[in-house]
Amino acid sequence: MKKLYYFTFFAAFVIIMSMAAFNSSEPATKESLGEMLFSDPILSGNRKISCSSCHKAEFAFADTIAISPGVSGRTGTRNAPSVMNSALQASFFWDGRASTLEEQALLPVANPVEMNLPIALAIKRLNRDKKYRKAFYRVFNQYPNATNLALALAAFERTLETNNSPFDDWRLTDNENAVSTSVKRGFLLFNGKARCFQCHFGPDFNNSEFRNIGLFDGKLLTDSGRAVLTKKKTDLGKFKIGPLRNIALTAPYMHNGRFKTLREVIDYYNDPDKVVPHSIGRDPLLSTPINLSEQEKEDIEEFLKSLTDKRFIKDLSS
Amino acid sequence: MKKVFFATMLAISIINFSFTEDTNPLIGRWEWSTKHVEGPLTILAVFKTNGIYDGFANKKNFVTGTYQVKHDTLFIADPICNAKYNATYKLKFFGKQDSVQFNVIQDTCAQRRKGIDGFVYKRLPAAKK
Repeated sequence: MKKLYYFTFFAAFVIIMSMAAFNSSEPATKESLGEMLFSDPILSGNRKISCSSCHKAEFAFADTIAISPGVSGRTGTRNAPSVMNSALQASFFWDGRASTLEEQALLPVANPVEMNLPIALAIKRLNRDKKYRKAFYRVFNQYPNATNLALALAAFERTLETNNSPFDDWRLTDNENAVSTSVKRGFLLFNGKARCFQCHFGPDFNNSEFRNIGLFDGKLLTDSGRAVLTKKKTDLGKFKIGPLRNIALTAPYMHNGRFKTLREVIDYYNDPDKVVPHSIGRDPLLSTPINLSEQEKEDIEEFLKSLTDKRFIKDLSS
Repeated sequence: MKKVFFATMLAISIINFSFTEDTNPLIGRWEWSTKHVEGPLTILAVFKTNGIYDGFANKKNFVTGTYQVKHDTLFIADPICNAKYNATYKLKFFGKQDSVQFNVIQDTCAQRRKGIDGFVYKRLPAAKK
């Protein structure tokens, strides 16, 4: 009898403890709920891909290929940007079609060439899933709906801020050893001769503008960018200026993922005509070659690498 | 007589130099905070002894420029606006110089005016190294 008592007691203890452990892993905040949703294929039409399929944590929440495949291998036309450091951004997507993270969060879910799940269907799915029904109620005091789904995903994305790069260390704490002399030279070039700073300034090294950097020629390069939204001729070939934090991890570069390395990017800006000779509407800032020396190009590249957050630096060097 | 004159001049210039260096009241770290729907925003301005200043938004460097303080006037330039153009702001210190207000005298750069003019920044303790 005693044995049975102890066995029952032990079994009950194990069940209670495992339930407690399970409960503790259930999301209790909108940020943790958003994190769970971000990696869950429940939000794709065929339940095979999630946000994290194209926004990979180890690559600063970007992808490593020019155009990421969506459901059933469907492809769009634009490179998946990093979703890190989005809290201070004024617009989202290469053409700036969303002005808040909440607005942004749902668009890839519904996009037929990305996750291909109409939002109404996504909400139905989440409400049928006991785990999510319970979690949404716990966090929002509401069952899943389009608004709180967007709030959760956006809240998670707002946690992905990075401000601990060697560059930050150098500027914020006056630690002169945080970066090399090449980085320091690169920073001066970035702010001066190389003209990068004309567009890439601000906490994430981009401002809120859209610019035509010359990757539109109407023949081989036909993505008209911002103009699709605004219907303005002057916006033809304009795209959002990309943020530069963790840029060393987010190759390939530009809206179409055309450039595989940072050096290719620097070479392009140094003399755009050599790469795209008949671009239409290229920004006047890029009308003349910059004439950077090899050393100067290297210094700018080193500066850009110094914007990598320390959490990634081990990965970058391995 | 000449010797005395030069010695006096030298002494005055040394005293004047060290006075200017030591009493630039802006040297140090200054902070201004607000809360947006998206979250808190903290702007930190670090004025260094070498005439360089850095601006940080939520600890992210967003501007590095040059500055000079003459009496109660700040001369400030940065490459976002135009590295060769010095904007001028009147400095108004409060308490034991533990906070400062920047009031525009002349600045053609609207973005900078938006981030500085009229704002009161609080002095922070010196950073630990």
